[in-house]
Amino acid sequence: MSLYQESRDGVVAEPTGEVLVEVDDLKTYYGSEGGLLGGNPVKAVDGVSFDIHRGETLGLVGESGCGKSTLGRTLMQLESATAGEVRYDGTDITTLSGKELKEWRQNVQMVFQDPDGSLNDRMTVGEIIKEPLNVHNWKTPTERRQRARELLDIVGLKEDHYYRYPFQFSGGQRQRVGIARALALEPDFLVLDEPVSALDVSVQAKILNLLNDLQEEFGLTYLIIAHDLSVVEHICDRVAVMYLGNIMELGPTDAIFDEPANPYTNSLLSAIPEPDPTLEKSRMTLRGTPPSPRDPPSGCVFSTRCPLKIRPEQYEDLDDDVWEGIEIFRAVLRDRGDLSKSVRQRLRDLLGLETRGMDIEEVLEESFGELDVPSDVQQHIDSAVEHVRRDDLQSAQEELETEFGSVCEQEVPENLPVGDTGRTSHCHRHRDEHEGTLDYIESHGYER
Amino acid sequence: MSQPEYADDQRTGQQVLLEVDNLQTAFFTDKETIRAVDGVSFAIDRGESVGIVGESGSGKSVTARSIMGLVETPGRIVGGSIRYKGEDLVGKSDEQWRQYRGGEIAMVFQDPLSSLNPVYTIGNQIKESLRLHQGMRGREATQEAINLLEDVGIPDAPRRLKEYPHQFSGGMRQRAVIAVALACDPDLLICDEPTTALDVTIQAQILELLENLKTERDLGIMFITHDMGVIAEISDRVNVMYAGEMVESAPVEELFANPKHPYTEGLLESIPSRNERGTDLATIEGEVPTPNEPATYCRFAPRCPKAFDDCEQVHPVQVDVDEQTPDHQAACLLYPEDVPQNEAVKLHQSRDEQAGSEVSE
Repeated sequence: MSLYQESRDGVVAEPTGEVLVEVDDLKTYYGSEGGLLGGNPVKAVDGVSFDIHRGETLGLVGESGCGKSTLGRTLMQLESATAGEVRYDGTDITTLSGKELKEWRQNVQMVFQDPDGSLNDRMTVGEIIKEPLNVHNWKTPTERRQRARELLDIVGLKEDHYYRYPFQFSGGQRQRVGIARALALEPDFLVLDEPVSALDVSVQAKILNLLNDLQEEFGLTYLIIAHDLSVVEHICDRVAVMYLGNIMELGPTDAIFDEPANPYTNSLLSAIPEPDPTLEKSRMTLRGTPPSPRDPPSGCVFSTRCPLKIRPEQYEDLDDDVWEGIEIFRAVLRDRGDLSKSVRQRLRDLLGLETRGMDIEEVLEESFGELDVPSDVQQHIDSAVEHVRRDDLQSAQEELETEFGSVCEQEVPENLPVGDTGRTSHCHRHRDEHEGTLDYIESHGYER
Repeated sequence: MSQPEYADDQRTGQQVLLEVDNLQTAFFTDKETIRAVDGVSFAIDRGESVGIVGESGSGKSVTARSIMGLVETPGRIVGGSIRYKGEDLVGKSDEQWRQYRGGEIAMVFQDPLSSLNPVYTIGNQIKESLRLHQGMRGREATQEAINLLEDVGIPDAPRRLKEYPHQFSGGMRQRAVIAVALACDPDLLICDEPTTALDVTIQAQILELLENLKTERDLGIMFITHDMGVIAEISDRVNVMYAGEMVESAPVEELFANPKHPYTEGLLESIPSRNERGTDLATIEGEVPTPNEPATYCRFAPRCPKAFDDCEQVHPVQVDVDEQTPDHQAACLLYPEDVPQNEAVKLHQSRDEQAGSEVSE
């Protein structure tokens, strides 16, 4: 271990407040090249800005498909950014290429989710760990071998594991090999993409402890990408919550988990199953799945599923179930409108074999059921139904949008500061003219 | 199956659906014999959900596959009984077993995409189940398929019926798989890590769905997972497995409040949310051993913080943890708690010998 310590004597693993990585309005789009069949690009990361401080652990959470892995890969320059800047120690790395990029890459390393897929089964563990040293022509071959053995020791494996193959190891051990490889070039910054999600709880705990120890020993800075919130809660200093390419809330772990401000964070935390069977909580269950990042909703990206959506003034006191019904009805219409028609479907439509307005009664039944819908609401629903019957989904959607839409669908919210912990949240409800998220949650009987 | 002659469970007054007794499933390879399931016993009632929890390699999935009769060579069931509605399934031919699969016992797997056929529409796959198990065809089957999709909470069901699996999102696929399983009208549903591949928000939806189905259809559910949070949420009773054996069994509240087996304690302690933020997580040293020899000792002993000398010599059997809580069993020499240590050890020894002599015949 001596080699490592020499160069890093006296490193303190406390967050220093010094900025290491600065991300500024970063966008990563896929498929924007167009081409014959190219439609809208997939907006995997759509304008995010944040800082990572030296020595801290930043957690990045969100559902699958929210762009968290793409963001991590863009920070590593494994994907090229469409727009925006990533400054690492002051240099904008999105413009680096060739030799400079290779030089810079020594500072940052990545640990992947799947230890099966990221370790070459035909190489011995020693060779795998030596690989980055070879690539960067690090010292002499003898010293590289020596270094690989030390690394095995650092991550809690035995030195005689050097000649074994990855398949001879368990999942936890393989993840240790992945970590050893990432540490080989003494990086300052590690991106860990779901480092423990493929492992059992008890093994998970060991890897998390190891990561903690390594951070303390070598003064590393981590970006941990995870969908398991309890892992993030335990190991991170600050947490960023992502939804559909946007960062919805960013702040210190304690603040986010104890008093989440953003509606999305609230619903995400509410969904975690608690290891306590006596607890009965009324969940803020989210409807459906996130919309396609190819065609994100206008205004706030979460507006189509948000349980805390701002209502137009005249409907503020409307029964919660009726409001929910309206939202479901609109979701179904939106869903059908999005449906890209196949050639066969177009033909069928043309021949009048099938109209999409066919079963609108069933949709209505599903949305409102037995509910007592006030007449002022009913009249708009009826006129929307008329439009659907004429197979004019667009007008139906517009009708509902003008009546029940609000600022959430019209304007993109800003990242507003919440409290005094440096937390920001991407939601209109933090503006003074609206009821705050916490008040709303309380007054509508949700629990977290 | 129209023989409701099976006995009521004294514990709950409910009908016992499934009774697994001393089940043993082994895999025979050239190198060794792996006793993946080594003497497992538990029961599932109608309308009850029973959780099976353990690390990977503990034998949870093999237990499920044994019940479905889906153990593939070189593995086979070598002992014990699986009584479903009073009928022993062990020893049945494949043809006979097929009478139970689907219509009586259905299974939902971890990865929904590999359980659905990509070249048939969701509707086709549900209707296939309906045709095979309930003899429904044509318009009737379509209507029933729509109802099933609505039951599992897929909006706009008539349109969805005509779509292919790739057009569904992960959560919806799992719902569709559950719909296919329900189309067979089973009484027992085995779920093998059904939410592990899903996001928390979607997982919450699926768990809610299963809970509703359980009460509406009076289904017995066997739920396999390694996530203690999910177990706490869904199950009425929990069985903890370790290296092919059942080490603890208790109602869910009891298990989480008073875990007795040192392994269960360790599992619960290593959950990140049960540890204080910023501290090191509690861990269990070592790894799950491969059960490749008959258990003449406690398989958890090498990793156990409470192990003593006898643990290496005596194989613990499931005993009540104490007099007051008859519904809580642990396979550990420390129990029964209310008798002196050496007597407890003797009890385990004699009971183990008894069980051993029964099996060898």
